[in-house]
Amino acid sequence: MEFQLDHKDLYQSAPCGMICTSPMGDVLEVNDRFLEFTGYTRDEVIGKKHFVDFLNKAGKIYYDTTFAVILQLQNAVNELSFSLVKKDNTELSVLINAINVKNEAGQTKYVQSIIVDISYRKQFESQLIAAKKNAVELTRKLSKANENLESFAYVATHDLKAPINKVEWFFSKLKDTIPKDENSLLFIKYLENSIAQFKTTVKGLEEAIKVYSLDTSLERLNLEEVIGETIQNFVQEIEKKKGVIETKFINDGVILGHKIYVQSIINNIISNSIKYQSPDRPLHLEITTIEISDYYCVKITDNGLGMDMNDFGDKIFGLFTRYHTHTEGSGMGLHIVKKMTEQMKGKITVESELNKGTTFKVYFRKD
Amino acid sequence: MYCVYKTILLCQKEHNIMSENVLKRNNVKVVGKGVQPMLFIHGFGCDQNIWRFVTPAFEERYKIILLDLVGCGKSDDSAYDPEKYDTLQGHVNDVLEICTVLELKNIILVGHSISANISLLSCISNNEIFEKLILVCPSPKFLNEDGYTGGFDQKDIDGLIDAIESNYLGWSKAIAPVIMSNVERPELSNELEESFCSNNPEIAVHFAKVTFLCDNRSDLEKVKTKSLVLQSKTDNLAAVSVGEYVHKKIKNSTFKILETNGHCPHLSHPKETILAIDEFLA
Repeated sequence: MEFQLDHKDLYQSAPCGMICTSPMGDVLEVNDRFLEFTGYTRDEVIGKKHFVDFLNKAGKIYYDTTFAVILQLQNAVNELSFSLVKKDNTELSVLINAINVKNEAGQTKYVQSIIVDISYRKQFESQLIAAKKNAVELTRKLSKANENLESFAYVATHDLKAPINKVEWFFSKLKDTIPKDENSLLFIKYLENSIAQFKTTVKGLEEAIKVYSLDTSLERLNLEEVIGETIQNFVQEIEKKKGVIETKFINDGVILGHKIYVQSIINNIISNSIKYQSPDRPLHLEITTIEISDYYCVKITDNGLGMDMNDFGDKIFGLFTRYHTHTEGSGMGLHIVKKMTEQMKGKITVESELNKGTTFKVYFRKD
Repeated sequence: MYCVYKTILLCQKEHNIMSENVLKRNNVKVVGKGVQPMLFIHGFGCDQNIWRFVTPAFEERYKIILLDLVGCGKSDDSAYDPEKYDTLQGHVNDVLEICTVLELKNIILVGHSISANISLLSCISNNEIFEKLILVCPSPKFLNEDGYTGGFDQKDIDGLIDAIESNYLGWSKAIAPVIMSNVERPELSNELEESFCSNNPEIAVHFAKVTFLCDNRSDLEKVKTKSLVLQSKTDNLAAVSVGEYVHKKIKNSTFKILETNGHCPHLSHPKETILAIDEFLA
């Protein structure tokens, strides 16, 4: 049996409503599907209705301020969502596409629109919109909470700083009046250590707040230049202790970051290497840069005390966590380092073996 | 002496930066060969593109100034402070700032729809710099109230907000640039770059609320500027009775009904609109 294609039939029973209107919006022609959607008869519609008669009031506003405007400026408007008002005043959710059909002189002859029933997906859409609103609201609350936390931390550090400075000062005065017997000297030493530790912690907190609140765009940096400058600060100190610092750079790696952050990260890691070097051997520091997909990685390896990673692992980047306790420290250095790398959209990893040494890999985003 | 000189330079520099920011913020465009300024302000839903069929008729005789209200078109979205723009006064301040920066006077101010309100508030704030006021399809209040028919109830406005939200579902500033840099389908990028009236959805929703919940009826009487009220014969947003109300309250006003239909005669019937404006300006 040969298949006969009847265009008229295709038009009438297409799975979408079709409507032709004059440039002024008067209905010139509709297909059967449109009549089925709206519940009107052909006679009630053609020459009698206007396009906006099938829209509710909200739809009329949207039609006049958006749909008609875009259609006139671009000659086509796509996928706009409306509620179609039926003869019985119930509404049907639809998507409408429309184009201006032009004559040879370039004037609009008529507007052709297709109307697709989307009532089923509209239900999900409403849920999506509700979920989206909820998410936006939660984000707003969260950022507000973060702001509050930041200002709390700021106030707290400032309020801690003044009293501890006073304690230190008054204690230094008090010290002169205390008899210097063995017991007193021991207590004085403990107290002084505690004051120093307190001050280091507050200073660390202050640094951390600065990192949390710096929110400017990243700049292009020549990685090796920045590292080179930073290393200079340590060369003398390391040489004095008969240590060696060795660098292997690829040339001209340009990264996106904040210069003070990159300097601070390198500073922190090298300071740690010096602080936790092994008493059994002179410090050997190796600093290399490697290109890894989207990143330039700075690898800093030392031969110091090292850590048992099974024992400590990623806790090393935690706030106030310290592995070696025989020297002074705030327990915040590496926490800040991690925050800084994250703020520059980079990452940091650590490998370490007890009594062998530690390797930090800091990944910076390529430009 | 040196210090004073330096301060003046600094002020000048800051002034220039501020001027630049103001013009950039509202994507201000100046065209035309004339001297007298004609400032056009678009209404809700679009941007300065909506004037494109009307302005060429005035370019020979006037200096045309076009702008995008903050949050619309190519204005600086980051300048959209919901608190500032929670009333129309935020936009009024922007318009007055633009007039100051461009040192405009004897201005013919043309405002469509909600910007008719922005325009008349501008005239009230600084009567001296405006010579004539043209209100295209104005409505001082869209909501019905005892004794006043604005045309809409609260549920209609809620429905509009829903319509805006569902039409922008998934639309996000974050993904827009990705689509724009579509290398495989450059025609798509072009289309998006040239798309008119593409506004940030959150701002569009807020602006819709400010627009459709406004009430400037008591301001009409304060307008001293010589005004033209241009009314479209059939207008779903601002009925003829609303236009008549505006005309009656503004003492020094002319009322003109255009034989047009729809809320944007300047777009759908530019010839008729130009003619009516010319008649008024003659």
